[in-house]
Amino acid sequence: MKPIAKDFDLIVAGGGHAGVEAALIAAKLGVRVGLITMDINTIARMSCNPAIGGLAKGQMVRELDVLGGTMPRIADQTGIQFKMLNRSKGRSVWSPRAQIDKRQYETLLQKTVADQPNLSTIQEEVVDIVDDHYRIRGVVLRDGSVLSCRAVVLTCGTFLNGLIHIGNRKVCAGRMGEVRAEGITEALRARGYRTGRLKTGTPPRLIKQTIDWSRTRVVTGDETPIPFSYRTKWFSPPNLPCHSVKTTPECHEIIRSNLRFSPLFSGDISGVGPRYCPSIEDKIFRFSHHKSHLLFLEPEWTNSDQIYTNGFSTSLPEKVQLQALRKIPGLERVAFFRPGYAIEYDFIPPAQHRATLESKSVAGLFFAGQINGTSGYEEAAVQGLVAGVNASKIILNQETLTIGRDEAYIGVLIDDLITKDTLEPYRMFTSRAEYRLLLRFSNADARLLEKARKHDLVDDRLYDRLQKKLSATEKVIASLDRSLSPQEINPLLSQHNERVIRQKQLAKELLKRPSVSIHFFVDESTKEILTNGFEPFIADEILLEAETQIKYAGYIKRQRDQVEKMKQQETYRLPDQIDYTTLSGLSIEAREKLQSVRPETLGQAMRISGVSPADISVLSILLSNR
Amino acid sequence: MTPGDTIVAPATPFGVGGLAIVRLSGPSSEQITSLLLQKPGATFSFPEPRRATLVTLYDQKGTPFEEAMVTFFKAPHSYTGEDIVEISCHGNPVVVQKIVSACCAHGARIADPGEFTRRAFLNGKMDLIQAESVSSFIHAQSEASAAFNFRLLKGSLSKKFQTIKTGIVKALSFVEFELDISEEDLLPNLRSDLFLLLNPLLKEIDELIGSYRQGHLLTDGALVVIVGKTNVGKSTLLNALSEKDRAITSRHPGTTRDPIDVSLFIDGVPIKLVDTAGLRKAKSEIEHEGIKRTHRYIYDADLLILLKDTPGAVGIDLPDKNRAAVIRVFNKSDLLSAEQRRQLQRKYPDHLFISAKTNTGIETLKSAIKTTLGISDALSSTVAITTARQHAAAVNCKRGLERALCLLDQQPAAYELVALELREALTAIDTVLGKTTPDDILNLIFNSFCVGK
Ligand SMILES: Nc1nc2c(ncn2[C@@H]2O[C@H](COP(=O)(O)OP(=O)(O)OP(=O)(O)O)[C@@H](O)[C@H]2O)c(=O)[nH]1
Ligand SMILES: [Mg+2]
Repeated sequence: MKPIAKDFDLIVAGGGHAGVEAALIAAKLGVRVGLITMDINTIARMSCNPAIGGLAKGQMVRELDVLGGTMPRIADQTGIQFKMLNRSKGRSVWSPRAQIDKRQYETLLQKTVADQPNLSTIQEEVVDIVDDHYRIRGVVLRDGSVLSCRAVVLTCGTFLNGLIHIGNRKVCAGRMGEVRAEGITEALRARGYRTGRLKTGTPPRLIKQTIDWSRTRVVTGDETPIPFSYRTKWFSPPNLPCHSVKTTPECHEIIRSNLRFSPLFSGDISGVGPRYCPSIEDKIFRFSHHKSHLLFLEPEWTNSDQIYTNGFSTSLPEKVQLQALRKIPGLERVAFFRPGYAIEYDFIPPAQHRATLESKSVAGLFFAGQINGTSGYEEAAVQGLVAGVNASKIILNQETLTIGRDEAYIGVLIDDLITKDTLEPYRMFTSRAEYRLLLRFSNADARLLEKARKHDLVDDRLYDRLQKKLSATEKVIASLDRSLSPQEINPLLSQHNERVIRQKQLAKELLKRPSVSIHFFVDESTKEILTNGFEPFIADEILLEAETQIKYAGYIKRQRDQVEKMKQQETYRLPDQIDYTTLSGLSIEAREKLQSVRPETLGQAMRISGVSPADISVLSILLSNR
Repeated sequence: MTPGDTIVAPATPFGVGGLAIVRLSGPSSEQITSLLLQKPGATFSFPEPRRATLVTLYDQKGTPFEEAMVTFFKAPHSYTGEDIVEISCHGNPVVVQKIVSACCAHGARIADPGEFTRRAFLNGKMDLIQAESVSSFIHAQSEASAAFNFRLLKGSLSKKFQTIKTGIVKALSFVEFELDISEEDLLPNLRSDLFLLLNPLLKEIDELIGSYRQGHLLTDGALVVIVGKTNVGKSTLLNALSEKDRAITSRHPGTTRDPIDVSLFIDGVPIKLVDTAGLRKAKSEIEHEGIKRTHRYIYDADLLILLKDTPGAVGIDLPDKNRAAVIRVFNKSDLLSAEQRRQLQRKYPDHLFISAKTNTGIETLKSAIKTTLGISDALSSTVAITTARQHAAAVNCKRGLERALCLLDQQPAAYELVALELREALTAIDTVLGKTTPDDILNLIFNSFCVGK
């Protein structure tokens, strides 16, 4: 073994969206960080779709912002089209999404990484870990050198033994054209980790000039875009159009008659792919009654020649992809930069980790991102942040950060990861949150600000600004306790076809009517509260939050009561050292599951599949008597 | 756990064995039981602790309904560590249900599954060895209880619960799809689809709730009222059905003035049978008052026996708002020739023919009473399917569904709220089907226990 090359507190292996968040937050917390990546030019690369946010993901990006993440700020600076999804549906499911200029995104993020004190980037590859009696001591690099450190965050993305499939062609790679990572899976297996294999896919990238744009439908973003980050000040992104086209029966026919060449159907792919993001061949096979599917043609960057074919993820042979695409109006003469492909990769089932994302078996070893079986930039980034914070906290000997299911989608994500079996790449959905009404994009600050403060994740200036925002929201709500006379409000009500009132009524009560908006009641005093130096989007959000809290008051209270009930379960901690196989009162399945997952709390134990309420009762009796 | 809260539940499975035990635990156990043991107003001394004592149980009106053994265990020397009273009575589900209801009427709450053991555990009544042994039979118990639940829920009732559950899950999947997947509106008919899906469920659940009424009839007794013109033989029928010489009969019309009631069992189903003053234009103030009371009984009745005597065959008109079921009966069939009877039968095919005097057709009438009350043979043997818990589940489910439908009526429909309500409806159903629900841990902890243990 070569002598130790350099001294770091924390090594982050991998420079994807999880890796950069972990490295940046740790460096900000004052920890000396080494970020090891196989190619420094691909740091923060968006390897799939040119977008950030979306349903449930958009809320996570907001949460990440309050917790000191970098993605939201850079997304605001590099977004080329912003849209609030689900606006016509309930306000807890409103989700911000943005088309991103991929090139600019990675450039800005790479600059942020380069400028960050305490953070060094090393172009190398981690092939093994060094541990001393299951405590992390360092990592081994490809060249055989050892870097010592006190904590490691593994964020290897799709690179672990990555295998790309295009038709029956197979390429060992982490991403198209990039070398895969080898060694870590084996190193972990040797230390008793379970590993698994997953699959994901990406669509072809088309050449802009070969598309007949006149035959596509234009899709634009919101006129008044809303940024992800509360830190964003000057926000006026361009509103560049995307375009949509529709697949045709002829296109489907080509895919159908070539299904046997898809590695998904030929049995070449053993990894499990996501059901929520099926390949085009899957869609056509499983939903044969659908005559057409919508595809979005998205520019990968401003003035990009390269067009992302959202909705056409595939691993069919290159020729078939092209033939099928050319049956779509507007794409008759299309050519591509590169075909779509499927990629299989190793992951480490995350039930082997704690809620801090630290490994249960090797102290100081953290996992974040796709290595934990998730998919998506946002899912990766938030895990990176949590792992980076907690690795730092352990090094600094400070209290670690855990986030509850009632506090954030991030909490739901991590709790699901550590208690549920990962059968397919995990993607966030709003329905995964049992307290969905509490987890709005517009109250991420109210939910997480104090926590962020406690763990030094937010600077004083932002803390003060958000405090002011929250108290302004309270003030607006309080101002709606005023009663309105029929003369005052009836003209407005009848103008909106609303039932008029006969006696004085509280503004608050009127606002509970489904079609009555808070704007009915905005007067000079409200305006005064709002013009207190707030950005326009913050002022809008104050009104939205005030309105939501009044309209949904009853429901919010119901959910809060449910949360209170759950809290008691969560606090019941299970001991680390316990041999579940010897607990004779437990069912065999529960013994196996508990032994392998080793939940930290009774709450986690309850959510493990195969552990019944009877097992929980046995467990609590046995353990409380220890 | 709420301090000061007293729980009650049968400690033995329903409908099994000759003896049943009802157990109370909590600070008011003694007080609640003593209210069952005494006629209102009477003074009474409670049995000494740990001594089984033979007592008479009275209902709220002071009517004795059961002889039982009562044993009192004073805190902390009891299973749960709280005051406990055990009432052992006949294994008749009707009696057990009645005792539990009476305790609830006096302030007890029906125990959650396993709540007795949970209290024992929380009060430190178990050491490690006991806990080990308890834990090893929790599974046996939970299997027994699953089998028990299954037995109780098999057949149409279980199917109904399942249908409702399947429907709600389906509706939820629509809603969640709309919220979570479809960025465009991919389900243009979502609202009407949901109405189509949920409205029939509401009907199903109403039927379920309705079936609890039968359970309530079984517990509290059904009010069966005999009405008709004067002299048709109402009093004679009351005597025949109750096999007692309770009411005065005479050939003079207008004999009965005050309503007369008797309690009887028809196949174990408790019934309060009432004979009333015959309906005609009152000839005196007393008779007028009697007829007024008759009308009050008609209003309260669960079932009316509308009696006519054959030669005249004049009926009476019932009030429009009458909610009770009705059985129409011709009395004095002994006075009819075979030919007259055939003619009448053809004319009134839905009428029963009896003779109260000669006791013919009385058994047929009894079984008609039973079926009209909705008490089928199957039901009376598995009375436990209509427990308060199942009723609460059905009612909560219904509320969730109704609120969901109400939200769907609004413009714009808030689907996230619809989803929340549907989830609550589902959670309610889950409590009956025995599925895990993310609930208060302590409620879940001993969920697999049989009720009362
Ligand atoms: N033959 C015959 N006579 C009957 C029968 N049932 C009742 N009666 C006679 O009918 C007369 C009236 O009977 P009650 O039972 O007193 O009639 P009621 O309907 O109670 O009359 P009120 O109390 O006056 O309204 C008595 O003389 C009975 O003996 C029957 O089934 N057959
Ligand atoms: Mg009479």
